[in-house]
Amino acid sequence: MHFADGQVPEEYRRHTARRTWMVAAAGVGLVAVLGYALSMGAAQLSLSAVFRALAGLGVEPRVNTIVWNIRLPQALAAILAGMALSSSGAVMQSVLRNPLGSPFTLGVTHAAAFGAAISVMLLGSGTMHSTGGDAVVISNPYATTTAAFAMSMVATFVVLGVSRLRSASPEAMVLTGVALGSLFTAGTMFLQYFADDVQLAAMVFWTFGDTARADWAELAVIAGVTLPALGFFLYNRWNYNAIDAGDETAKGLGVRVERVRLFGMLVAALVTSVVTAFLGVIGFVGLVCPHMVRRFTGDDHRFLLPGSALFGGLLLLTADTAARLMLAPHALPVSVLTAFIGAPMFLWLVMRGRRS
Amino acid sequence: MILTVNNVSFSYASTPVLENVDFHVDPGEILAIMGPNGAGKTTLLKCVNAIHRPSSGAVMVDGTDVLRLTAEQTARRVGYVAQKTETGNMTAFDAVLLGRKPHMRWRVSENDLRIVEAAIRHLGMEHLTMRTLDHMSGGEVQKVAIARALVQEPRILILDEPTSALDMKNRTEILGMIGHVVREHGMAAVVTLHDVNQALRFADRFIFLRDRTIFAAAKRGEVTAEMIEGVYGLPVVLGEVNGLPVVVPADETIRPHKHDHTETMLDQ
Repeated sequence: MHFADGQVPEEYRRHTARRTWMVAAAGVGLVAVLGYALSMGAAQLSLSAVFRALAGLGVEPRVNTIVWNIRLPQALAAILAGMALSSSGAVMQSVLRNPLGSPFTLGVTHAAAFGAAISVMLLGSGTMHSTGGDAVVISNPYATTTAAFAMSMVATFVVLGVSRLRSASPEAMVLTGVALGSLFTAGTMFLQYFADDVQLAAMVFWTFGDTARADWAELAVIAGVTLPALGFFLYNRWNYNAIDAGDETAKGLGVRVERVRLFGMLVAALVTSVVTAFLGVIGFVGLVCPHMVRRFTGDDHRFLLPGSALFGGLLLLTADTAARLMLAPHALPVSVLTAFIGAPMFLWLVMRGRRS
Repeated sequence: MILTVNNVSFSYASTPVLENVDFHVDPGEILAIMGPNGAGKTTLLKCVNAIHRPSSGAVMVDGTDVLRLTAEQTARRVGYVAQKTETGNMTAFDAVLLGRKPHMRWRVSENDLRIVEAAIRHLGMEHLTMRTLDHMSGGEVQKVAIARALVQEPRILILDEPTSALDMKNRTEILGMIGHVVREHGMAAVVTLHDVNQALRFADRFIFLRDRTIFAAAKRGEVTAEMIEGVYGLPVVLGEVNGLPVVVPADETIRPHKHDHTETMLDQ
């Protein structure tokens, strides 16, 4: 083939530059909101105090404690969870060939909630403390987290196993996920019906996704899973583009479609399970965020994936900061806010269609 | 010979779909695979680019068994235009760029971009470069799919019903475009077509599939009404209009008589 005489159109170069800038803007926005989130709260800190605390330049111990032990872990948990949920949603939407693809579609989150409920009920990991406010405390967070994680991996493997029988068809994955989701919801309700007051409160409390739960050790686990997963997603960006063009076309381009689909789902489900197990159920980010980013970057995963990750982190951190400050001195769990913003936003996206 | 299909048989589960299919294609040549729905045409195409693994026999591309190639190596030799192309919020340029995937490493190179632009220009669709696929007509999307297969820089082009969703003008245009590219670059093309008339004008050689195997094979100008009748199970009339071959179902020739009869009745 003699296609050596090509000239790359200027318009295309501008288009690529614009998409790159949009992704970069999400990154800059993320850093800006992070600065704001670290300085705002019950104790107002100046940005320079926050910066000095982060840089390890001598600040008073109180500021150091606030930044390092309270606000930074929570902010990082929000960013990592937003990145994980949003990029997983983008990948699921591609490999499932379904715009409703999100960690919810697979029943992963419902399974995690069921796992937590089992742990509370059978392992007695939930108790109520009425000292510092009316806080319900999961007395054994590791048991609960492990149970939630185990259960969501069970859901993932059932979904992948069933779809394997149907040669990894995306329809089989979505349908199995929906069926499992309602099965696990029924299981949770069954446990809740027989739970006593304390257990019931602990179960319900667990499902409120809350970024304040994570400490540094847990953050390390979340980051250790999320960041390699993001790398894996980016590595497969052309494979996802090919699958978007249709399974047959992708196969013609040398993509092993069933394999890319299975591993994409497995990794997406894994990061979602880890985030959900540590932080609880945080809805709508995985579904809405990629769709918002698509309006700016299009469906090209070279830009959609980093855009979704950065914007997901930005969105969840913003929501989390708002949830902390809105009803101060009460801090609202972020999941309440994401659902409140997410649903109308999704409706708006559906009605507006996409920018042409 | 660029492509040799040696006695290929294929079964889905234990149901045989193809039995002992044997043919070859030379450089610059277009081969049309014809036959009724369900005759195994698409399956045969998928055996050629190793999406399906034949249960016996072999497909040789430039003398190499495709099953010995990796999926990526096959994609550098065989470009496949599937029956259906999904659309989305992706510009034509990026959609064609996807065809460079088998040649790409981590980054898109300048060379990749140049090849994409040249392919788009060769197919005369520069005005579509920045338009997204979900804002295109069926014919335009089909051209993008063909451009995508061309930038794979393949030796062989396989097209599964490339014109089934198109109107008459687009059909003629797209087939003309494929013919031009294949002959100019000394590639080989294997095409399935439902429209017998289009096929007779477009292809250099024909194989007719019936009952899982080759029922007849012919060169351009050697196709007979009996071949077409035998493979489709329908009486046809094969004639010429302005030097172009034309096939019509024989039933149609009876209609004017019926028509006359009705008119006579109305006259009375």
